[in-house]
Amino acid sequence: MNRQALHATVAVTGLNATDSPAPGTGVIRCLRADPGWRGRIVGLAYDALDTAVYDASLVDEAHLIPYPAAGCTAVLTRLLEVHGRTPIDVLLPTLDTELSNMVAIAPELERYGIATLLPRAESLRLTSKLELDAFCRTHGLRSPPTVVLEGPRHLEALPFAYPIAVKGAWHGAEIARGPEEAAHAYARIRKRWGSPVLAQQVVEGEEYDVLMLGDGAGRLIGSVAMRKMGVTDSGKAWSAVTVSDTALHQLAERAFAALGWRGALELELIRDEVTGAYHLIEINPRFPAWCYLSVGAGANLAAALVRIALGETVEPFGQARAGVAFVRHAVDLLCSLTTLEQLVTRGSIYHDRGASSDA
Amino acid sequence: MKGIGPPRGDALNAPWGGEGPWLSENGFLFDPVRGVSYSTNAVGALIYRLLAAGKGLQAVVDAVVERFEVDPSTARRDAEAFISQMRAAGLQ
Repeated sequence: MNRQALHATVAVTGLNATDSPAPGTGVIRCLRADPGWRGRIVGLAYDALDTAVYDASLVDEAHLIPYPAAGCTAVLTRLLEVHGRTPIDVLLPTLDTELSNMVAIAPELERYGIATLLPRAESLRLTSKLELDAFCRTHGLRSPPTVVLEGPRHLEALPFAYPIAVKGAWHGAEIARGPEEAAHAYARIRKRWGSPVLAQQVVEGEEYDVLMLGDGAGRLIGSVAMRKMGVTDSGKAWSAVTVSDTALHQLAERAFAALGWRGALELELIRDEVTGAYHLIEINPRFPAWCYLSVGAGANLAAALVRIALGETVEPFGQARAGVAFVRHAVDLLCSLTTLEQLVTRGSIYHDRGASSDA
Repeated sequence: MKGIGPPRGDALNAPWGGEGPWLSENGFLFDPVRGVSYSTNAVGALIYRLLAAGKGLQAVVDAVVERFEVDPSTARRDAEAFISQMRAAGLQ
């Protein structure tokens, strides 16, 4: 791994680390863990209460940006506004919902000197939950059968048995043991995350995730696999341990190659408790919230992404270390009300320049 | 601003070198392929170590009888039950 100093201002999104934590906090901790880190972190928040904004050990400054639904132009305008105040070298978005905008505006950002390492639009399309079934069938990967629900009545005539996972196209997943439970889950997910809603057959077994990084030239720079040891009610890993399973890595590499991936990628899999086979249940086109584990496993993939985006040649990591665990730990941050006031009234906060600074 | 770093030195290196399962002195058994851990008692740890060293059932029974106050038939029954559990867990 290249160990030269990492002088860069990196803008990171996904700063709301609540019970279903966004990946930004983990990504930032990875960057700061790089021995060569000499950079600056610009936090990009969607809400003044996004939690990492208040942690001065994570972000040097933070700015509110418009939600993805505001569209490419609004997002680009705001990013360039921030760039005008603090020149950004690398933009590292971490949320599924913002990626299509970011991919679309990446060439324009590049013209302003903001580098990214994002998937191509076609690769990104293939990671949609709506495409998973077809993608897996095309490439000979196991995946539980999935259907797009045409409405709640569809739950009574599914082509597979219960239990099922009811999922939003981007976010949200609930396990249902029968049609009645599924109908309630369908309503909750549709209300919160919108349509379409999907039903996926549940494969009983342990959950594994694989984090990977592609350099954009077809090379896999590194991968870290883990087993979830503890999960939240919404299935998010709250503790995990890295593993080293050749079968799992080979499967992940096949998916990676089939996607022609550039940037960070997370695969979510279930190991069938009866057959031992891995089933791909989700593809996430970004770093996962648990990505700080990659530092412990000896493959700091977020720092590698920044180096690649900056044009450095990064050699692939060796096999990640197995048997490294993490436990997530919630902390109450005390903060001055002026931080909130600055964000709400000015849209920006600078931790190291005094709360009232605007530039 | 001070960065947040991982634990220093070799604190995260696999205590057993990383190859194959790890059985600690205290009977904590970790399978790095599946990421699953188990805990066993002194008898189980002895049986696991002997099997990992390529010993057969009779050698295991003899060692258990020698080390613990148990008659051979009980030792054999317990060893067979333990080995069966290990197989079910994919450790044999």
